[in-house]
Amino acid sequence: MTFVGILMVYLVGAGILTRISREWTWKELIAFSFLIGIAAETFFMFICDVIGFHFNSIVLFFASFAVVAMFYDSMFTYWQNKKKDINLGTWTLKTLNYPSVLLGLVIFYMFYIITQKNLFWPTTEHDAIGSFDKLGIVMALEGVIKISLFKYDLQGAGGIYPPLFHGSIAYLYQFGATQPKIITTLYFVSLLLGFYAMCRMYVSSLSALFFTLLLEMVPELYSHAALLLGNLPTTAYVGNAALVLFVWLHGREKRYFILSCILTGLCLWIRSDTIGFALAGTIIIGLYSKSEIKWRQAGIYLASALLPFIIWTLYLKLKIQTTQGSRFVDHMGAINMVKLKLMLSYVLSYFSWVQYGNMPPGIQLYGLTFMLSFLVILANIRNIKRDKPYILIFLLISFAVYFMIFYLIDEQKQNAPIASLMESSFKRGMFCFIPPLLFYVCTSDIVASLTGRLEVFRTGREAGMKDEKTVQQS
Amino acid sequence: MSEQTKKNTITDSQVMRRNLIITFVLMFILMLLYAVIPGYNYAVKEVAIRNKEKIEEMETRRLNFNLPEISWEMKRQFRIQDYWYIQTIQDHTPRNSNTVVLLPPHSAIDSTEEFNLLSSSEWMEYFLYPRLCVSEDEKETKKELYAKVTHVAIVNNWGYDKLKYVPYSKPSEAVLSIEKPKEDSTKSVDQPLKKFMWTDSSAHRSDFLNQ
Repeated sequence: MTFVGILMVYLVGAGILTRISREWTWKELIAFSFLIGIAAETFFMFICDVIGFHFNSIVLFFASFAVVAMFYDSMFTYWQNKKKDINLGTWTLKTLNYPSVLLGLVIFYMFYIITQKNLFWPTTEHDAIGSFDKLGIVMALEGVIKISLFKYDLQGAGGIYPPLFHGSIAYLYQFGATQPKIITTLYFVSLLLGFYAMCRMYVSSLSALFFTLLLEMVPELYSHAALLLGNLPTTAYVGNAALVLFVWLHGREKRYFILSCILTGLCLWIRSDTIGFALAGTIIIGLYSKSEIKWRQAGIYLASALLPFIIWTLYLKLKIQTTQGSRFVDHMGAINMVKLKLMLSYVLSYFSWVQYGNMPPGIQLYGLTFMLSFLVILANIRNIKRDKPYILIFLLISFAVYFMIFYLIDEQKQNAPIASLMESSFKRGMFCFIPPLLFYVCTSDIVASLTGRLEVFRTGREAGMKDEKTVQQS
Repeated sequence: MSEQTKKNTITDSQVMRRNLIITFVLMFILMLLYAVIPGYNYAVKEVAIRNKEKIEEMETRRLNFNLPEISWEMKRQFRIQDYWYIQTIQDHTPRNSNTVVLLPPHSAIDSTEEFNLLSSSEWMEYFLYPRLCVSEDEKETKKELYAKVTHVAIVNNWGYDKLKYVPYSKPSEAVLSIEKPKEDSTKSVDQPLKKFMWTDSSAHRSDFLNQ
């Protein structure tokens, strides 16, 4: 039964994707189908809730079935066109790409171990028990989003979050799952596969796999692959939304723009504090799109991103009678230098090996991610204006907004000091910056040139980075 | 794909040799990252490998001693220190939304690490649903729910003063109805609620592994 539920998620996502375009590679289709499919299921739940109809597995199955039936022809055409791509290629023991095989095996083995851990243990994380898993179970039992626990304020902190994550847990429970944590594994697959697929457009498989391994093994993120928390799923949406936007800005087809609009909207359907990424995306479209109607495109992007945010804000206000801003300071006074200094010290700690507070330093939490990235940015400084500057602008704006959101949190209303927030929520929210940052490093001129040379040495052929012209020609 | 290609100038054997050289260099780099960067060492050694060994050890011992499959409840008992007490609440209260369990205040349990989350109603609700729960600390903020309390979670001897009767005996941990029941359940309590093999969480864990 659970298998049927998961299969329907992928089919719904694949149906929507193939309606947008039939040019997706298999990697792209698998990675994005899940993200879109599971979000569609939570939209069905939301619609049922709004019209006062209790949802259950039968209702969700038939709603999914309707979508699959509607998009069947496009999926069938896609299958006809792309089934030839499912093969192992032609290789012999002499020409096998051994370094890529090694990296692929390491990625797969590490994925297997963390999945084994994830599926062995039941939910025990404090936030999952106090909020997400509880919301998921009760939503599944009661068939509504506004569950009975709201009446006595027992829903937990995640109650005001948009329903994508706990809705996806509820979806699995409704389809008979005893272990909802499989959802974490599916999000992790989407994150890694989406990242690899996007990098592979620009660099060799060896380089793309190496950076995928770096992403997979970000220590804090890797440990989250065995937990039922919302940060990894949010990273899957934010990371993929950002990457497909960069790919489109780099001169790719319109389908990437459409996908980016959808995924950015879904970022705000999973966590409202990802709004900084939507704003950053809008600005870089306005500044760097090569189209004559770039500000119109920026407007479309922003509108599609804000739509779920507005819908959820209205739902909170009208149905749950609360607001998303209820934990922020009421008014802006003078700058709180103590708070600002403390937050900046923590940020410095994330980006380096310096320890601050009770938290392990950045090198322990995120491995080499930030330090390697800053090193590459410095080494690439001569090309900084020419080599995908929109990625850096995107990261700067989104980080500034993210930082500001935490700065504005009222510690008393939140019932937690800012140091504790920096050591928990802020630290985990940093995951969202990692895929775009690693993508920038992986596809930067300096790294692409190095890996291109390595590829020439490895194969004796020139098959380096596919530049913008060849991309457009193809 | 329109990758620029030039005529291959090396033989397949050379390609293989070069591939193997890069593979060994890559292995060295990965080992170096594992050894030098503390975060990667932690992720591989602690998060992945140690946990895999623990799971395999548990499974091996289970198979060697011909024990039944490790249940969900047993895994929870292994991970959540006060799960035995949570199960006691589940067993001693009716499973409906009219049941409201009064949880102890933080001050009554802060000296006992085992019970450190027992006063959090948001956390406890996960295990008690469809029952409702309210903490003594929320007496003022959740007055409506507090007025509906039907059972008291007695921990570290806290909570007997909330009962409207004097029970037959007063074990340090119990779950009792706030109104006098037809039959006093404390009469039948001749053993502590905590099962004998679970004297404390660390001992319980080692028992589980060394069974």
